[in-house]
Amino acid sequence: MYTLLLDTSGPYTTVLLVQNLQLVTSSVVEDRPAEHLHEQIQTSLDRAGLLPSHLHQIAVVIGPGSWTGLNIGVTTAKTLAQVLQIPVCPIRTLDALTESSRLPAWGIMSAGRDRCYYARHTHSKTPEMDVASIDDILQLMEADPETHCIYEYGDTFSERFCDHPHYHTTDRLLPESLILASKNGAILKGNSIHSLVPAYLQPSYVERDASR
Amino acid sequence: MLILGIDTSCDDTGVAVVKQGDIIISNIIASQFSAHERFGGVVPVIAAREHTAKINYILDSALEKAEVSFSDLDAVAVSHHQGLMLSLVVGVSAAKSIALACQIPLIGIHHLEGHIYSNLMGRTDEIHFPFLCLTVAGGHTLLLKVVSHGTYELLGHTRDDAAGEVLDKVARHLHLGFPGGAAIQKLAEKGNPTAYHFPRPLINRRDGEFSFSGLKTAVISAIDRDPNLNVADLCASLQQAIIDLLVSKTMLIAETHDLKQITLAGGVALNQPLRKALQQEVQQRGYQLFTPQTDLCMDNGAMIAGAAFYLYQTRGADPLSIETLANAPLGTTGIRYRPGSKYGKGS
Repeated sequence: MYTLLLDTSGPYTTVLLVQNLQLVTSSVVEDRPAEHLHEQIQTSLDRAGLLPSHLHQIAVVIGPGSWTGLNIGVTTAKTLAQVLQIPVCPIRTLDALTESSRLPAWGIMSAGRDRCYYARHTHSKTPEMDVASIDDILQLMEADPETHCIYEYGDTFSERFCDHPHYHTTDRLLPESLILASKNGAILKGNSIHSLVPAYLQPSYVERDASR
Repeated sequence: MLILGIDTSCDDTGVAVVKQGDIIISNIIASQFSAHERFGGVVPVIAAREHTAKINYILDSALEKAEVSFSDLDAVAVSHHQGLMLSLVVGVSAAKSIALACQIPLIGIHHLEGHIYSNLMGRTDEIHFPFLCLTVAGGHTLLLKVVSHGTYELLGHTRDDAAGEVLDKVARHLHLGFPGGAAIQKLAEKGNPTAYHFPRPLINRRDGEFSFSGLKTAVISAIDRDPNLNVADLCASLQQAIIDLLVSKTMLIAETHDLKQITLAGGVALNQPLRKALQQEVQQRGYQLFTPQTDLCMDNGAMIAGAAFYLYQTRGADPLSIETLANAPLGTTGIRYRPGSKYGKGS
């Protein structure tokens, strides 16, 4: 079973071709997903000797992340799935960020204006993502003695965590984390794929934005 | 040749299926008026959100209405040049995905070429090169000599605002809703076009240059100054000023360059008094005027597919890495849109 995995959430455009959770090809290009993404997909398929019709599923990072990048990634995944009539697995950025780490772990990334998206990942349940000021998040972490690791997507808050022994930053989501996240993610099929939108457009976030 | 055309250059999501460049089998346009209405104009971020949320539904509708499937398509065409960048990338991403998944040619079209070709669709026997095209909308006002497929000469342009922008901005100032052109035309029907004496900038200049910003300022000042404003009279006077400018410059350029066939394109081409005034002038000179059918005046996918049918034969297909540009040169002569100086010839 071949899965095409797309990540356009950050400064790198990542295209992975995965067979039964094993990486077949990997293509990572910096910046400009509007120009690179489809060429990367075609090259990945060519390198694996596959046609688009050989794909069984598409997984895509839906955010948070680069606003335009996510529009491009999600539209591409939805349209490929629509034409090829295959399912789509949406991946949340913070899920992929902590997927291969020791749990419990916190995933964070800047939401602008000194605010931060965060989620606490444990073994027991799917984490809920929320937004808060970095000071509020630091307080939550201090009250959480079980925390093993803190992963930040980007390095906006690196100075605030410089003393933390298990703080890590990354500027792109790693292939193994994306593959694991695609294994654990929900699956959308048929016309329900059309309703897939980047995280910033999902009702819960729109409502939260409106209430602020 | 069956071409799927996609246009997401501004606030309308347009998808169409066109056969042989002429036969429109389906032409679906999802308007975003309600999303932008309260802002009195198009908000680029909202436009892109709406395109992302709706594009796949519109693709389904266009194919369903045409009673074809993706596997029946011979090519996919998309506006990739000229428009709102955030909006353009959504349509381009969808088009590239279809080209990739179906392994069919991708044809990138300049949005203005779509408007130019909206007149040629189904009329290639009647309209002959070279002809004059007046394309006038919210984002552009241009007089182009269409020399051959994909080759244009810039004969006139606005040095500041587009004609459609004046209508939209005045309508917003009067709280008439968005888009402004239709609201102003409706009110103008009941008004006196000579009630207000608005300027006709550059009307006596013997070239194709337009200027609308002074007119816009004069109208907005009149609204702010006059406590007993007669809105119908004001709309009629504004509309007449724009018509006078467009018609006089178009006829001057047509005569100067001996272009006896004139086409009118773009959203402002929907304005009936403009069509009527142009038709009168054209008839007096024994020239011919061509106007597109109503649903081809607005931004739409059909004109993109129509242009693609002809331009594919001369330019061929584009690679999947084709770039998306908000301001892009037009045609083989490289007519370039530049904010500030607006239109000029590319270097």
